[in-house]
Amino acid sequence: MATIISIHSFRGGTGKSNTTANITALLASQGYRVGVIDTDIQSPGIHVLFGLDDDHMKHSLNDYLWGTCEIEDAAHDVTNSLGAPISGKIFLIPSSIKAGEIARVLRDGYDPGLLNDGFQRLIEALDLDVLMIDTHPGLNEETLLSIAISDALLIIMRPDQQDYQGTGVTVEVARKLDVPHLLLLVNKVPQTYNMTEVGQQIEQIYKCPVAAVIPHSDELMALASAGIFSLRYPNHPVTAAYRQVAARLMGSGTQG
Amino acid sequence: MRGLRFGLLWRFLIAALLIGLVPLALISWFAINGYQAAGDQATEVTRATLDEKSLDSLQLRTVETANAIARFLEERVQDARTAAVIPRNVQAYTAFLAARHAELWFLDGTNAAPQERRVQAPIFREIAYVGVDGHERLRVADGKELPESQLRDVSNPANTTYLSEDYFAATKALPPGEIYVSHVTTWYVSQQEQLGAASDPLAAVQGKKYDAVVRLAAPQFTRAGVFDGMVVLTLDYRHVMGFALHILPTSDQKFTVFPDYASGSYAYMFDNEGWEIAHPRFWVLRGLDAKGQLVGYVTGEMSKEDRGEHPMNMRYGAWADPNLPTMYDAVIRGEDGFVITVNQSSAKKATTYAPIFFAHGVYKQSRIFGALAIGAEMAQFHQAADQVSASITEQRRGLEFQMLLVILGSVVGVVLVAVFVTNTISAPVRRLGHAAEALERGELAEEILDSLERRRFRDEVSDLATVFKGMAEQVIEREHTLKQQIVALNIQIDDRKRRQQVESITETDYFQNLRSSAVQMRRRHQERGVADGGTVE
Repeated sequence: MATIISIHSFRGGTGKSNTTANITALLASQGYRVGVIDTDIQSPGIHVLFGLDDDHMKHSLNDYLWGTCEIEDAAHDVTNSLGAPISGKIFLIPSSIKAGEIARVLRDGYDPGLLNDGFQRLIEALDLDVLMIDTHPGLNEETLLSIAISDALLIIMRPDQQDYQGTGVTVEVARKLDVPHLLLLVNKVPQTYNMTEVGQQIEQIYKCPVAAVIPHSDELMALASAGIFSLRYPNHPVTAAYRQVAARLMGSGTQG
Repeated sequence: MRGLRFGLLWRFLIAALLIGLVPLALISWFAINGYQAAGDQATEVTRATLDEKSLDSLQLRTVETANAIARFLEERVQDARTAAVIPRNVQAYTAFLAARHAELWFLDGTNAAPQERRVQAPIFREIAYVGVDGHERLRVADGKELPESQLRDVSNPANTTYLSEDYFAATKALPPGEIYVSHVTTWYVSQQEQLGAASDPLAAVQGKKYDAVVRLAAPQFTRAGVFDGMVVLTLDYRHVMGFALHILPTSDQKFTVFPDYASGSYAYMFDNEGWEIAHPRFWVLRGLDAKGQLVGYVTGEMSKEDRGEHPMNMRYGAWADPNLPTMYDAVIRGEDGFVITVNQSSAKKATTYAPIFFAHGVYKQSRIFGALAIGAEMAQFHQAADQVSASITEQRRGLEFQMLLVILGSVVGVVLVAVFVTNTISAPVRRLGHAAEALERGELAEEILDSLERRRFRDEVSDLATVFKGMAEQVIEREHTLKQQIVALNIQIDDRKRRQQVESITETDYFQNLRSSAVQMRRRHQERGVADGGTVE
């Protein structure tokens, strides 16, 4: 029984892809076979973190959605390209970064039902323990679908005025979709804040557990799109926070 | 903060003590030592000077007393001449004796309760007229005429009081105008007889006395120049001995009734033959045995008991003190002087001596009666010098005490100043620390910082307080602003708008379908997972 985890944020730029990559890496380090699927077709990005470039990208999620390949054909094993020994496996299903293909999705759309089938097939085909879904910001149909089938949903927000409202909406919608485990992660919190207090306040306001409050880190920023922080700094407090988030997400999965 | 408080105080203390006290202590040390050295030198010079002065003064006293004894004896010779011309009757003789008195000092009473006595006593005990044949014709003793039955033939020495006196023959042989004077004559007094049960001559009040006499005789002649008998005067020798025994050499009192032999400071006399004739210990004095023969002089070979039964003769006393014959020889040469003797307990004793010039009777050849010697313990001798030394020492003590007080006072002062200075520095630093702790707790201890900033004298601490206060205000300001941001988060969620947004999503057909199929989809994938046998347990 695989655990499906969606990572979402109402707005872009919250560090969603980064968080997804870190949690994926940490889970794989624990021996899990983890699939990561980038459903942010309109603005893909996570492949950079896993060191996958255009030339090595044979198929993408786009190819599957257009029926040109099976979903498992779009999966890339990136386990060995992360510069650190990992006992599990990481399979990345990227979205195409070719401008034409992005435009075609925007123009023609696709059948969200295909996504759900794809997830199921992927789990079976690659014998996954965990499927991580890096969602598109906002609440479009594909995202709602991802949320609906997830065992756990991690909503990432910044202590930013524009995020408060949207996160509130997302949490509310997720509740209505009966997501078994709903967690918040407050990211990029300026270090002048009291992290504990921020966590407590957010929890109180959204009546939703906060898995971690991660301070804004220069180190994290420097590595933002050039590697995976938790592998580079296994003993950093931020890594510890990610590890805790991963454990809570998985705890919800096994219990669900 | 604890470490700082310890460090500052001790550093100040040590620095202050080093700067202030070490030079002070060194100066004090040099001052006291210099004073001590100067004092010692002064004491030594003073002591030597005073010793010399004391010795000079003792010497002078010895010479003067010897001269006084000589004058006294000379007066007695004159008395003999007078006696020779007065009528030969009881009245005249009695009047002669009664007219010549002098004071005698002696101890009376018992050993346990001695009493000092000073009485007027006749200078002569007897006066007698002895005829040409040697028979006593008239004899008045102690104011009374003796009956005829007691008159003796003194031409035979065996008939004399002391059984061996030859004054008749000696006087008869003298040319007119000359006077015979005998040696000091009495029975020998042994140590046992003087002391009895007493330990010391001074305590032996009840013991036997040395009651000696000196015979003075003036030959008489008829108008035709024929020998016509002689007048014999018996001098009570105690009057002579008193000159020596009453001397107190090293005391301000100058005189005593009886000297303390044990003190070592006393006077004594010896005669022209070297016999001691005045001394607190009577057993060293010249004396006659029961047959009227002189008792032989004491020698070094004698046992302790025997020494108590023989008198001392200076000529043969070298075994007891090598200075004794030396003094005798000098006196015989007519010289006065002094000797220094170190006794067995290594105490030094100075003895000054002076001849008693007298050239009558048995003393005619030697031209001296004998000599007076005054001994004084050097320790007592130093009394004056010691007083100076003691006064210097006392002053030095005073100086030391004052220096010590100054040093102690300085220590207290330095400690107080160090504590005060340290406190003026560390206390505000400490308060600054409290202010920092307050800031740590999120409070601004403004009154502390204000008080530090408004110190009477501007210094590094007040500057620091100013900077610190500015910093604290900024920190608190920033914290305040940040807190406001968190508060803004609370108030900026618009519930109504949110509800609208949620509804705009959830009311779509897609959402409604999704919602109803979501449970199914989730179940389906889980079922499939179970059917596959599961991969994660």
